[in-house]
Amino acid sequence: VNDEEVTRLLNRRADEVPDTHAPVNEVIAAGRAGQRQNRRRYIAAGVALAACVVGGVVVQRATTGGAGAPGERPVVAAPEPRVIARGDALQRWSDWTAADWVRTSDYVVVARAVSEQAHPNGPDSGSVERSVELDIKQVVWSRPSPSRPLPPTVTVTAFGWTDDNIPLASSGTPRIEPGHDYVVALVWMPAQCSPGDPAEPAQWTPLGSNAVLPFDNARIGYGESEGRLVAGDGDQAPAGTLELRLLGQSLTELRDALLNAPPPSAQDPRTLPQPSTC
Amino acid sequence: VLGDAVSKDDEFAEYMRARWRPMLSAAVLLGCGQPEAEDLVQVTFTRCYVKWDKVARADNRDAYVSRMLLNEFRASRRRRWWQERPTAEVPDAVVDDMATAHAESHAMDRALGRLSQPLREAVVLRYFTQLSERETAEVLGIAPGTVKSRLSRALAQLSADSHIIDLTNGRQP
Repeated sequence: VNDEEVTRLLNRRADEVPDTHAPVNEVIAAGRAGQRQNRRRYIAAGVALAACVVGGVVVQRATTGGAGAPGERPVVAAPEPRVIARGDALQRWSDWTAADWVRTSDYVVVARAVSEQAHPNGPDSGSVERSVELDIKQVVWSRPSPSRPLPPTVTVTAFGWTDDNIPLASSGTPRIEPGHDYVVALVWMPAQCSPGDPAEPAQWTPLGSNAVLPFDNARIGYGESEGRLVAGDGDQAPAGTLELRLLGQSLTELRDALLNAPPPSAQDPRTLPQPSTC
Repeated sequence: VLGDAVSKDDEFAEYMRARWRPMLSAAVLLGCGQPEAEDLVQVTFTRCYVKWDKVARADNRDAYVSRMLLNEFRASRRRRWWQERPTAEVPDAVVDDMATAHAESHAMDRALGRLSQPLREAVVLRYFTQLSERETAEVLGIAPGTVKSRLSRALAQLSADSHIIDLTNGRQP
């Protein structure tokens, strides 16, 4: 195929994209709201109130967006998170059931998010990434031969902010915010590098979107999800998840579920990607 | 001031209406599903509105906005535990055997899915968005020579792709 043929085939594919109505008014309204948000960005008056509202937790948020050095983000009033649709079908591992957790995880732990760091992606990137330090409070389960010993703290990547400072969250999933407790199924992910992507060092990572459960006050489904407080209402997680199955229960029930889960079979083994370096 | 705001809104609205469909298509060609593409383009245009003064002054507005779209796309696809894994194969789609156009579209979809993301981005910007090689290089943040080599490799891969070969042989993929 030559240049013209590729262009023709691309246009052929584009022709099949449904021609939806351009939401001009919605975009202008959102843009104006974003501008107002920017103007209000430095107003910290609501901080104490916001912190009280979320249960006495000091919520850290950015006062500045865009490029800059990584660091702690100063405290300001927190806007509502923007919740992004989930991509369950495309996750690396299945993480819905106790059997899924047991198949792939190295550890299932109770952890408290103790701090967060912003990692600006640079001008016009559209987002500011975030890493969260988790203090491991308790190991609930571990596979017989975990990939490596579990350190007292692990740092995981999490949804951050848009570059106009709106928190990002995934539907039905905790953002992992400092001050809250979570049950987390952790995997040691080998270093990865593929052409065109930044190299990813080996690191601890949650098994998936359904493998981080709110766990404030030692109750599953209570705490933070999507950047808001949830209290076991049952609407914060998709049907079929371990979170919904164990809603309101304690570590005893979780441990039982994990210990009684069917062990990995030869037909459905644990699969970890091979390490790759640039 | 009010007049300026109205003028800005009118100018932006006109631009967005004209570019909505091509941007949506570009997002799909980059690898988004339809709902994700709509979200991505809407977010891109929202950012575009916020920065309209800068966008409107750009030497090549379409290239500038294409870069914003690409940045949004990359940010949304950056591999993290909550997101996807790369896949070499796109899911099967229903193909109407009688529709050549649909078959071509389907074949291109699958062939694009087999390209690495850097090659795919170069192909979409150069051959669909119709940016020049220099503009493509600026949007991707790479040297023009690298664009040339990526396009060359992409064309070679597309030419060798079984779905495209089936098309050019006159058979349904």
